[in-house]
Amino acid sequence: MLSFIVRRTFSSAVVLAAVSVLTFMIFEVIPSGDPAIRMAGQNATPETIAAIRRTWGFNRSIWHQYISMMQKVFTGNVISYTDQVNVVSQIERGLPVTLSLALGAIVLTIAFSLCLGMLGAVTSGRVTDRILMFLTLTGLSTPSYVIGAIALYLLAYRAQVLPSGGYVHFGTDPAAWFTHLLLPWLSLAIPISCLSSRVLRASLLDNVNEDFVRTARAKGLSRSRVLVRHVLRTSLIPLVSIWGLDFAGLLGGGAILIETVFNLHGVGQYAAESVAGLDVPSILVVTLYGAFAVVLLSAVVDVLYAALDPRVRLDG
Amino acid sequence: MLKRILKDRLALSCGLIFLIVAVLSLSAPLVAQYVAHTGPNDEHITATIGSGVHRRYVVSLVGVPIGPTWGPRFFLGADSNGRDILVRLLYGGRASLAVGFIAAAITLTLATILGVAAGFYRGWLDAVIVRILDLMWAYPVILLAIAIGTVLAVSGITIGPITIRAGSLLLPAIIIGIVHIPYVAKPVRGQVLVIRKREFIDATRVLGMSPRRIMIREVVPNVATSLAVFAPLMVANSILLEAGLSFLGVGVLPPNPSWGNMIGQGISLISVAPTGVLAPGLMLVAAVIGVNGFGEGVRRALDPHGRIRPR
Amino acid sequence: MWSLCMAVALLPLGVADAKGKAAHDMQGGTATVVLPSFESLDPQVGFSTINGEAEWNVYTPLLTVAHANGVAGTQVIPGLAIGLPKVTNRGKTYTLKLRKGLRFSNGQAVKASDFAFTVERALKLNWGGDSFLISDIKGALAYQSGKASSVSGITTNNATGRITIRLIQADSAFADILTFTGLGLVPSTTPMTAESTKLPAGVGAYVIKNVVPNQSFTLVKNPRFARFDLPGIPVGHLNEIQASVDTNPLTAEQDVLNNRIDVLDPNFAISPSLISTLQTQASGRYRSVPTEGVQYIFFNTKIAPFNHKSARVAVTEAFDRGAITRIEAGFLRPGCFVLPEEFPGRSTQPCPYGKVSAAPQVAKARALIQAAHLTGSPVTVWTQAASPYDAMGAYYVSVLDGIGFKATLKTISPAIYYPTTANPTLNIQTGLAAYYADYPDPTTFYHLLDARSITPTFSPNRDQLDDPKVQATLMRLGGQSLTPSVIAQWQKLDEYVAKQAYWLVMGYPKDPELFSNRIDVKETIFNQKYLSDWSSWQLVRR
Repeated sequence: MLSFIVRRTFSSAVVLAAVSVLTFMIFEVIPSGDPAIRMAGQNATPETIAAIRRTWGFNRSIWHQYISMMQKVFTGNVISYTDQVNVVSQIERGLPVTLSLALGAIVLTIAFSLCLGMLGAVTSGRVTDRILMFLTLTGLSTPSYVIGAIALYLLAYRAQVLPSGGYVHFGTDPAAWFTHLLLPWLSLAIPISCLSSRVLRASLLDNVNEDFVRTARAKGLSRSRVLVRHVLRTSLIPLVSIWGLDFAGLLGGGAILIETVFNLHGVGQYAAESVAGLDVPSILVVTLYGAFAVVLLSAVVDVLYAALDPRVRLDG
Repeated sequence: MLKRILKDRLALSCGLIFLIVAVLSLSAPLVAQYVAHTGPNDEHITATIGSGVHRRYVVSLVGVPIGPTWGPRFFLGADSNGRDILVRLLYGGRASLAVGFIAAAITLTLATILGVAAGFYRGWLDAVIVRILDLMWAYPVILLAIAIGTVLAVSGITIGPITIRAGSLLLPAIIIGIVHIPYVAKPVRGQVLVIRKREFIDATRVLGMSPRRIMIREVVPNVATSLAVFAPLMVANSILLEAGLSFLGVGVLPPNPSWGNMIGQGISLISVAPTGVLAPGLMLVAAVIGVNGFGEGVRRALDPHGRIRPR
Repeated sequence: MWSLCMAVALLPLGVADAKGKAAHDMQGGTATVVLPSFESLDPQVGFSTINGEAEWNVYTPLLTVAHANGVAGTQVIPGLAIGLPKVTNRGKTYTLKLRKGLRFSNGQAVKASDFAFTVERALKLNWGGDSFLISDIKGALAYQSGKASSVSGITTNNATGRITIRLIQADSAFADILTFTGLGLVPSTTPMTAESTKLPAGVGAYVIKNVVPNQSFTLVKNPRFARFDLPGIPVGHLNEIQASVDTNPLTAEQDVLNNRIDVLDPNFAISPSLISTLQTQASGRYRSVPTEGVQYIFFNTKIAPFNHKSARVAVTEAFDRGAITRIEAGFLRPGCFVLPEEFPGRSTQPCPYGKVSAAPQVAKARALIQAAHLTGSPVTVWTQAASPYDAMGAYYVSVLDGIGFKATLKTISPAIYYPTTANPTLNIQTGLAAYYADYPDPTTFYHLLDARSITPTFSPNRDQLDDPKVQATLMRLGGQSLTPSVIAQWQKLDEYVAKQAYWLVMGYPKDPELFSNRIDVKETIFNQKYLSDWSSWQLVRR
């Protein structure tokens, strides 16, 4: 276990370092994306631009710039080029929103997948199962922002039963927090849970034929009881990794489209704004943050995997 | 295998759905020329249709486009630029499907090369490839794609002798194709590791085959089944990612239509012109259901125990 | 006699009434406003119109503009200075006197030297409008580039409150430049670094508090300010104004329409889907106001095909401004001259190439292109990847294709659009742009066609235009005050530029104003420079 942690930490650090270099490089080669010209504004004079270049060190070598940028990242002192705001504190501000969004979405996902997956397995081969198969196929084929847009139109604009977007802190008003996040949660949870419910169904049906299940059945337990009591635990193992990585994606700002559609000022929307603004410091930090979420949660998933399934060996 | 799919009614109906979407998309020029009499990017903002009391603006003075006429012109209505939604929908389908298939082809090709090379040679090559895959895996995909899309929208790109202009369909296809690589390359590598240990590779080695020949002759055919299972999945995912990127304005670039950018452009008008979002949304979902459903049929036929799973 | 008695009798009553009204005005209350975005609220950093709106009543400069609607709102009035500047030395020396007894919102006394510090801070922090300072004030460039420890052109005397500013050249717009909130005085003790949350103190009706960058902030009444009683500068009605950002215009507009938020910032573009609803359900609290800006298409006059006049004229002939008006949901006043309607120096002649509302002359345009042997020429149109510019670009491409060009559209991120298109090395043929007046003088627009704006790497003159006739006029008129004869010469130039079709002017924008039913809409002021005047907002008396 210890050696796993050491090896994993090392390889993660390598990956994160590579992510930072790659990001920096991509945005260094943008034609005329010169931040000095952008900062100087529409009425800039060449003198102003030259002065900005000096002050911000854009005239130095790219490696020099990279190293000084990374120093700022580690001291938490990265300043955005566009609005000269501390990037790390911006992400900290977006974090509660994104965390609420990701947690709610993953809770709903787990609930939906368990219900749909077990229902599918229990009714396997019957009409209910067939309908479910088609419904979940539709669900997993529908992008979350399409669900979000249609739900927004129907429930927020037309029926006006739910707010049309924005975020309320849980501490301020728990009920409003819930109603504001309900549509975004559903929009995210539907496609993911449709996918994982099918994996669960298949996994349940696979395991039903294992020996220990036959034994249980032979003891006279009902099919559904066996499914829930004995098979579910084993069948959940593959889902741990699916859910874990989806959660990592959402947490890391992957819900860009949903955060945009519902005007949630989370990490995702900040990421979208940074990229649209081609603002290197904030893109770099957001990307590192997202990659960190993925790297960390993949490691957690691997540990969980090993804990749940004795056949799996931890491999750095 | 074919027999199994032919018996799979769900897979067949999904295949049919996809076929209909594809045929409709391919017929776009015919519809444009003979039915709607307008191209996908032709604008009729200040035009009127109908005559007498039925005369209506295609786009009202405050910018609200006409709804479905259910007639030859503006069958599904117009968008805010006075373009025929049906015509754009069908042309958009060509773009979305083309990007989906090209991207999937790129993913499968590169992923196979990387996965097979890494798994077969092992050693430092494996270590490097695995690290690269880890990097791509951890890099926030959408951010990467938006970043590259934003950059290349300005300049296009030149790789060796090939120059791809900004606005070319190949750009989003390549971006999507690349970001999906680890999803396929990782399981392929895993499979190659297993195949490598089997005796027949040893046998071929004894027979004096070169490593490259072994790979092409013996290893690749053995991972072909997995690739066949991944292919539809990758097409579906690529279509979805293309739609997402175009929705954000960095995939298929305007004025050319794709389902994603039609949704993105129509979304602010959804309350007065819902077809602008619903039509491309439904086509997108139908196409993806078609590919996914058919793909599952392929999987059931080739891999009944669900062993092959992309990461 | 009778009337005198009545007057005397009424006098106390009148006073009581006025007091009652004042007391009521002071009652305040809280209102909310929704913004599409905002930059850093540090006055010496941000330069957007949205920032200006928020900062106008927080950071009062030496001079400011009148809190009034329409043209009256462009008038320069004293801010923290007593009276308007005394201009001597043939327009090259400005002398102002700081009002006595002023204090910043943090209690510190305001000194004349704070002005010099404010200018230095604006230069050091690369305030968005710093080029105005650099091109006008002596020693500003030397200070910004680190060659001098202070701005040599500014001398101040804290004892007398005298402030003298010496200019490099006469500039009739300099008084207007002094009205920018970027020159709103801050204490000399303010750190020389950009502040995003702990903003510098200022002198104004309000203080900005609780800043969450890119999300929200609050304007709170400055209790000290009412005492100064600055003539013409209101002390504000509301006690608190809570501003928040919504990047989705549709939800923002719905929120104000349904009275969940009190004010919609005029920088939002109204969605066409809401206009009929607004007209029926919010007629008394919704309107559109013309603003002094221009939306135009630039033609690079140095490269094919728009180095040919006939190519530019053909596009102008075939272009349908009605289409653009629709794309902008009616928020455009179509026009063909560089200067907006009612702007000083605007041409009085009819448009040279057909009426603005006339049907497009596609056949004529095709013939022109054919005659110039330009049919089939490739044209790349640049525009921003944001509504409505992407839609306008798509329309422009369809027009070019329709008259025989082979056009492609290049949409790029709004964040890099203006600097990118100002890069002469990219040889950009044509694109869409907009510009809003910084001050009521034609040079604010015409610097975009001035050959002096061209440098090898950066040229806001996107036409790369160097027309001797234009240049001669600009050299002659630059810096001159707008006497009738000067205005007549500007009109000639405006006419000439339209005839040469150097720009395809689409029109002049309108901004929306939408309030909730809690706001007394009749009392609100829309200023040409700072848009909605936040100090004019007050709650409806019930």
